Amino acid sequence: MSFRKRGEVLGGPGANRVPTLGTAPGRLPYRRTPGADELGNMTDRMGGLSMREAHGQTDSTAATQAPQIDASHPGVRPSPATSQLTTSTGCQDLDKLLGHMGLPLGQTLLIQEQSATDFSSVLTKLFAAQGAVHNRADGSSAFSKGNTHLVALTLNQSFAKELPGVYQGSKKDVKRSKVSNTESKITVQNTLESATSSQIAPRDLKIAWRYGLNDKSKNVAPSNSDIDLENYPNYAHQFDITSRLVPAPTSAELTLISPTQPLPAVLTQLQSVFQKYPKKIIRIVLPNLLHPVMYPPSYSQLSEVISLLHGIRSIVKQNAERAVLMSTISTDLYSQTGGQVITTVENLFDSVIDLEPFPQEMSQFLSRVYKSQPNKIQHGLVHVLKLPLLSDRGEMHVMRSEYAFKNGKKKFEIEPWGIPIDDTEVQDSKSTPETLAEEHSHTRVSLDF
Amino acid sequence: MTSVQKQDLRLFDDHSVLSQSLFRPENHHALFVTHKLGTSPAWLINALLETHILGAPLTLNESQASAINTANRRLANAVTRSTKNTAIASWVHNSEFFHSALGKLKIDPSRYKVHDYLSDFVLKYHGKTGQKILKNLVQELTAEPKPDFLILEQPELLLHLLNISSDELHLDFINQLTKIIPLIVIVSYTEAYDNPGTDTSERISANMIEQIRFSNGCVFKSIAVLGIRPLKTGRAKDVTGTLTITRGGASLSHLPIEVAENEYLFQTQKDTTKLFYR
Repeated sequence: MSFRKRGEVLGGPGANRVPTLGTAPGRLPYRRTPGADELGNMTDRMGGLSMREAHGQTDSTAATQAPQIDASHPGVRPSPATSQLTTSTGCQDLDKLLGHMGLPLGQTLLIQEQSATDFSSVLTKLFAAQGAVHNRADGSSAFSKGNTHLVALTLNQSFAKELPGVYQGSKKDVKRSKVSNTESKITVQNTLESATSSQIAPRDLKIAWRYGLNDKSKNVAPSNSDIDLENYPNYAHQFDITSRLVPAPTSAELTLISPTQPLPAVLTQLQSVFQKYPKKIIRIVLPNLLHPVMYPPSYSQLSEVISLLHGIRSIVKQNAERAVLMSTISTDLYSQTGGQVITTVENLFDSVIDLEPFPQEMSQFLSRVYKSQPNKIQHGLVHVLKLPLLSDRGEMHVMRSEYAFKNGKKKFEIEPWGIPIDDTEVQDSKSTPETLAEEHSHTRVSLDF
Repeated sequence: MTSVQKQDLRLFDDHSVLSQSLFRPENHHALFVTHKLGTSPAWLINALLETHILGAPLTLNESQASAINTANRRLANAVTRSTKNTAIASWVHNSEFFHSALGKLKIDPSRYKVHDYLSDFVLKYHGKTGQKILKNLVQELTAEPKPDFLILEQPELLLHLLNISSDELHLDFINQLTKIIPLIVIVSYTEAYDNPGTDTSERISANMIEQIRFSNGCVFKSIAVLGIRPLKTGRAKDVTGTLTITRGGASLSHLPIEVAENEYLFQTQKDTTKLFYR
């Protein structure tokens, strides 16, 4: 007989006890959870502990789930538009805007930003963080094996530490998940509770079965997003930009390449990443492209810029089945009038999106209109210049001022843009007919009965 | 747009897209295709390739299925087309891009040659002298079997990739090719060219001058200019853009054909493009 504290977690190193307990008839080793989904979650929480491994069997599915760039990759799904394999950008609204529910593999995305704001850096961090989360989706072994690798062309050595963490939900949700976490752990107390609850459960279930109460899945028609969530549970995540991804990606997950090196060195380093990780999706991030702080003065010449981008594009296209690229550039640094840098850079990307933050007057107007709903205040316009694959085959997708974006703690939202109605103006205009009506109130009174 | 009558593409007044008289061995001609942001010329390049390989632009105005049927019939009659050599050289797309586009019509890759100047071009040629590279490229493009129809997609990128002037590019590359190949098509991205800011009229950057010189050179060398651009009014659901066919600077007086100047509206959706008049 062993003496254990009530709250002490059973298992741990001796986890192989779990299935043997489970095989004992009439006895439940762990807390009974209602529904298979919960069970799935529980095995997830147990750190990807495989029941078959515990039995000492060789896990045949593990071989098929090994990092291969096919539909089994957690961060990959077919595009609804072209059925080409696509990966999430980390921002679900941007995924939708691109028309493929993500960025198709082998495609490049440029995010331009006007004026001196830095909204685009949020998108690059989300893009990188999403890659890191995909990499860890398979369990704790992700650090050594993994399915995704990040490459950032930046001088910022702490790029990895700045990536946002996955949004855990509101404070209530966090508390709830903590409670369910502790409940799901195999402690003496929990097993006792589950044993008692299991005795009562069959009776309840019997009634529930008779009235079809337990049959939720058939009754409720799932929405599109639910289907997506079911089919691709780890495809896209929501990030909280005020938190940090813990643990931060290490050199096994992220390769930093310095843009100050000579051009051939940059390209060969990038190529070597593809050779080093032959079965991983490679997410390339070029934050603040051509920013004078990071890029040497020689990059102000078009010949150098085009050579860099042409070389990178060639590497992405050569590895089209497992490479995606996102880059950001400030258009104010290289304006349209100062030469043809922006137009030529745009030309070398498959998809281009332009962020135009609102000028101060517009922001003031919006904050006045949405005084009672500060969550609705947008921060700028989104112009679509090119969409991946679709623009390349000749479709016209230049959409200016059709969408607006707003950046929040837990989401970078892109929504259709419409100028809101200023209530104060409406009231002013309303007040004039009212006053007129008051003036003529004599006649109305006389007619009223 | 079902009520609107579809129009066949014709570039010359003998109702042809690529007239047979252009391919006489003693003649050398060029066509210039310009395109802008939002209207990729992929469909027009495919149409020209199909015309040269199969005799007609099959994917224009036709559904995918009927185009494949016609292509199969024409491919079966292979004798008529076996003497033609078609080549494409691209600085923005790799060979896979063209193979997948033409593969939809089940055109065998042996019927055309793709020179992929996107893959590893920078690693191969960075820091080397432009003239030598251009000479190499001309040799590669005109190697046996010599093509009689060559499409160059965005050769203007060579201005920056090799850091050469537009004159060098014209003299050592375009001119050399036009001397050897009966018909070349230069496809160029002219977003920056047509769109100089209002205050740039006084100070135009050196890069812009080179770009303008290159485009002007192409216009003067070509017999016809095909301009693809989006609608001026912006995006529309039923129209993608306009295709304008105008005469170029080169004369066609030595041939019995003339350029059929015209403006089409076109709509590209998925894999089909439809042409119609305004």
